[in-house]
Amino acid sequence: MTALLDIYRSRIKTTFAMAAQYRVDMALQILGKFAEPVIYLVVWSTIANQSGGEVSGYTVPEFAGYFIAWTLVRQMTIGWDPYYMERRIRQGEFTPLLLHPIHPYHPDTADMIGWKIIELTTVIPTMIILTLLFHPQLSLQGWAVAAFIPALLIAFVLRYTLLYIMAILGFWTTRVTALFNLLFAIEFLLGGRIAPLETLPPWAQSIASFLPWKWMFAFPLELVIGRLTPQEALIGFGMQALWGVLIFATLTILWRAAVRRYSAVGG
Amino acid sequence: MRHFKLFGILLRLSALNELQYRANFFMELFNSILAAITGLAGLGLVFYHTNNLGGWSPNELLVVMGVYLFIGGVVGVIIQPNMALLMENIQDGTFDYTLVKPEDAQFLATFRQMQIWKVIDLVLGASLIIYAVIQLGQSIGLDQAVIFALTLIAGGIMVYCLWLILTTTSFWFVRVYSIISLLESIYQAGRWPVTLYPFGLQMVLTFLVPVAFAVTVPASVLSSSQLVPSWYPFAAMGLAAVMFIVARAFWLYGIRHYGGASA
Repeated sequence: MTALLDIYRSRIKTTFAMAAQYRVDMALQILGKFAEPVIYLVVWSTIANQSGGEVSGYTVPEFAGYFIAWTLVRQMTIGWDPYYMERRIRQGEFTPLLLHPIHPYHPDTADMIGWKIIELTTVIPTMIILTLLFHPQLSLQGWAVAAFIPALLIAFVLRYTLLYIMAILGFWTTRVTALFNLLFAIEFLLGGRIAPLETLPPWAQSIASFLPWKWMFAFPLELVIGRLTPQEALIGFGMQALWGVLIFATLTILWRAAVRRYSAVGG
Repeated sequence: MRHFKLFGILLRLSALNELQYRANFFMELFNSILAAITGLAGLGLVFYHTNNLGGWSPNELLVVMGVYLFIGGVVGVIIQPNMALLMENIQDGTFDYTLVKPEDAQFLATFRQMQIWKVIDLVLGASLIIYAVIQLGQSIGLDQAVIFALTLIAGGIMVYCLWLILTTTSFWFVRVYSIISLLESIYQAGRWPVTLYPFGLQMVLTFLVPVAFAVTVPASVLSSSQLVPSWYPFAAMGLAAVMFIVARAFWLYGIRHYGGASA
């Protein structure tokens, strides 16, 4: 366990050093990611203004709160992009990794955590700017903010691991891009990305509750802006636990099978 | 005339190249249709709550989305692959080979490599526009159609010029790709009419990243309701001409400063 922690610590340090080389590059990339929430915010504010100041229980300042918290949750739950992972598998880069006496999942995760810490330095100033521009209304409650931190961390681990599983499919079939895009489209509509889930028609909301993405995005987000009751928060953590068990079981089973199947040229 | 012929040859070459990978066609088809469905679902969600968005009716917004897809298709077929290749060539010095050819370097750099499968986006965009115009149920006069076509061309030219200007800066700077990806994400704002955005953002979307002129203005031409000031289409054409001259001048200036990394 301490050995594992050491590995995490030194990988995170290396990530810092790497990121320090490309500061402007990274800042620009992250800046680009904020176009998306601002677009949604403008659209939903327009609709709310037209319908007497409110849509599905969200007022204009509440939409602002939703989409500002959105930037944090979105940035913190981005995982390795499966296209990159697929390429790694296809080009044989996994060969040396499999020889290491440690599951490749760990160094990958450590790198990602390092990036997250660096990204926070860009996300937080941007959230402040958006707050000054759009005057959000948040009902921050102590317990909810405290519960948000584990909820966000779990959301990150779940989404990250789900992406990892998708990438592992690359051991069987390269070119799984179509599948990724399909899943991303579902996530986009039913995970709370394009709009708060409460704005969806009831049938779509029920489907969303049965899918994992709500619990990896909308749940921590609604929690921190104070829209959930303590009971709903508990249900949320329960769903996160349930999906956690399912996702990690799948990862373990799939990984064993994948390694047995893996044969690469070079690497 | 010679340029048209050359364009035809380059197009055929690109097509032959990509025809080797026929499975990619189905992949692109799937991805494009999926992207269109996701966009339509977003529109559907908006109109689940209201029947007009900032003065734009559902069918007018469909036209906006069609134009957005269409211009995105132009970027995907011609602009993006060629500018990416150009950037790469400038960095590793192989741009020398383009310069020594007895043909205008800008022309070659613009049409060397076309992603034929992305034509699907052009077809999807055009079908959406046609469908929405029929749904709008108003007759489109010949003058309207001509102005629409001209503003659409002007929009394409503006987007091309912006890409070219940014790519040209790679004669001096190495990593310009992140600026382009930043612009790409700002371009997403064009899915919706720019008239929705607050004033400051509208200015950015009109003059810095010409999304307003590239997408919103052509789309507004097809509708009878006064969605943008009526002189905008003409401003778009004028701006496109100015941008083309500026981009061309900047390109020539850039070439003079290109030392050739391999030389």
